[in-house]
Amino acid sequence: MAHRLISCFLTLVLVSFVSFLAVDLAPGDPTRLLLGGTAQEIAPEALDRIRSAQGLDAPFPERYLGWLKSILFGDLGVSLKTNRPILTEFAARLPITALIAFGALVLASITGFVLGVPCVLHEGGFVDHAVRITASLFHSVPAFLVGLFALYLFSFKLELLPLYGVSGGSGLILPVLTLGGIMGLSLARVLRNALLETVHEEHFLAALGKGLSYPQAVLRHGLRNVLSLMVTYLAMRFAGLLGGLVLIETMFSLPGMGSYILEAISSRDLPVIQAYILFIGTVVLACNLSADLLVRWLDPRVAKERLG
Amino acid sequence: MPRIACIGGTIVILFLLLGLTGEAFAPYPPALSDYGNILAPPSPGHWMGTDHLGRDLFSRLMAGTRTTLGLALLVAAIDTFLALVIGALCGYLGGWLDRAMMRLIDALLALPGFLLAICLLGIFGGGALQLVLFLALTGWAQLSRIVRNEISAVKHLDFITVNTAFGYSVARNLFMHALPAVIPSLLVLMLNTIVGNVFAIVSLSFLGLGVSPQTPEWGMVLFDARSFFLNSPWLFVFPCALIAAFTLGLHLLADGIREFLDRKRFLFPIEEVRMLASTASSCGSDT
Repeated sequence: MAHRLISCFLTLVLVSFVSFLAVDLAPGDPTRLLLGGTAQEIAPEALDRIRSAQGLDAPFPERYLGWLKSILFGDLGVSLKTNRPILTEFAARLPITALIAFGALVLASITGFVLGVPCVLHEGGFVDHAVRITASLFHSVPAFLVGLFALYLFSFKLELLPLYGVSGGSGLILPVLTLGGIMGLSLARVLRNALLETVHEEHFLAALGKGLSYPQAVLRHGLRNVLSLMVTYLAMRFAGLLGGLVLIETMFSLPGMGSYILEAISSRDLPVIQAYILFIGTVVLACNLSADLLVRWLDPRVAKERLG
Repeated sequence: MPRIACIGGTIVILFLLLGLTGEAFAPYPPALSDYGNILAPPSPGHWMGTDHLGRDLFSRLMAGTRTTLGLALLVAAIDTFLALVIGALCGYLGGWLDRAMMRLIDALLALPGFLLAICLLGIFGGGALQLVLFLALTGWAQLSRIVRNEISAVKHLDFITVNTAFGYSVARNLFMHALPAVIPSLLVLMLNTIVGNVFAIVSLSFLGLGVSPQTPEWGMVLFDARSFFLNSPWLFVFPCALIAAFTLGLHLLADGIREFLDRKRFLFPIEEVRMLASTASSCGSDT
C-alpha cells in the first residue's frame, strides 16, 4: 500500500507540473493579462516593475516551486476576473457538480444491478435483449445529446421539470437521470458479461450441486465475485463522467464546476484553469485510490496477489 | 465473418464514401442563406429544414461529414501509431524506459482526456490543427498502456522463447512476431477510439472550442443551433440521427470482429481490454 501511495503522490506532482507548464506556455504576456484592460495605458518601465514585483520574471523552476508551496498552504491563487481566491470560487461551484456526480454514481450502481441480474437469470430473454439494445442506443450519441432529448421531452413538451437552473433541486433530476442512466446501462452489460463467466466456475457449480437454485446461487455466490469488477469499472468511468458534466451543466444552465471552467476559458482566466487541472487530477487520483482500497476490501484475493 | 460485422462494415463504408463525396449530395452550398426560409421545418425543398440563417441543414451535415470523420480518423491513426511504437518498445524492452513511460501515462490518465483537451484548447485557442493535436495528446496514453500490457504478456509465451533460442533478433521478434499477436485486440479498441473521437470533436465544437465557426462540422451545426433547439427540434434530431447511425455502424463492426476473433481464439488476455470491449462504450463516450 505504501508503494501505491508513493506512486500516487508522484503522479500528482507530475499532474501539477503539466498544469503549470501548460499555462506557462500560453500565448500572451501574463503581466498584461494580470492588469487586464489597463495594461495599454501603462508605460513599459512600469510594466517591468509590476512584473518583478509579482515575481513573474523569475526563472521557471522558481515560479513552479513557489506555486506548489502556496498550494500546499491551501492557496490556489486569485481569479483574474473576479479578484477573489480561486478556492472560494471552487467552493461555491463544487456542491452542484458533486451532487450530480454522486447522484449519477448511485443511480448507475442501482440501475446496473437491477437490470444486470435479470439479464443473467434469463440469458437471451426479453430483458437481456432490451438492455442490450437500449444500452447501445443510449451510447450511440454523446451523453449531452441524450440530455437534450430529455430536456426537450420532459421540460419543454411535458413541462414537468424546469428548463434551466437548479430550481430548488428539481433542476438536478434530469442531469442525474441522464448521466446515471447511461452509466447504469453499460454497468448492467458489464455485470452481465462478468456474471456469465462466473457461473461456469467450479465453486459456482459446487453451490448449485449443494442444492441452491440458480437465482440463489447467482445472488449469493456470483455477485460476490463480480462486485470488485463493478467498483473498478465505475472508477474507470468516473473520469469520463467529470468530462460529461461540463457539457451537461452547459446544457442545463447549472452553475457548477464545469460551467465555471468554461467561463474561465472564455475570459482567459489562466490561474483558474491551472488550479482546475490540478483539482481534477487530485479528484480522479483520490477516486482511483479509494476504488483500489474498496476492491481490496471486497476481494481479499487481490490484496494477497499483490503482496506475493 | 459474422453478419453484424458485415452490416456494421457497410454502414461505416457508406459514411466514409459520404465523407469523400459529401458535397456532391448536398443540394445547396453549405453556407448559402435562404432568408425567406429561416428556421423552416423539414419540407421537400429542404429535407432536414433550415437553421436560423436559412442555411439548408441537410447540405451542412453532408459537408460536415468530411470534417468530423476526417479529424476523428486522423486522431485515431496518430493514437494507434504512437500506441504501437511506445507500447511495443516499453512492453518488450521493459527497464527504465518502461517505468518512466508508465509513470507519464499514469499522470495523463489521471487527467480525464476530454477535460484536459478543453483546458488546452482554452489556453492555446481552438482550430482544427489544435483539436487534432490535443485529442491525440490525451488519447495515446490508454492505447499505449494496453499495447504495452499485451506485449509484455505475449513476450513470455513459448513461441517467442523459441524464436529467441533460434537466434532471432529483438527487432525481428518484436515486429514480426510479438506485435502481430496484439493487432486483433488493438483493432477492436481502435474502432472504439474512433467513436470516442467523434464524440469528443462534436462535444468540443458544441462548447465552441473546436474547429473555426465557418467550417461545416456535425458539432458546429449543433453549436449554431443551440439557442433554437426547443422550438426547432429538427436542428438536433437530424445531427443526432447521423451521429447515432455512424456510431452504431462502428459498434456493430467492432462487435462482429470481436465475435470472429473470439471464435478463432484470439482472446483478450488483459482484463482492461475485455472490460473496454465488452461495453458499447469506451474512451470518452461519456462526453
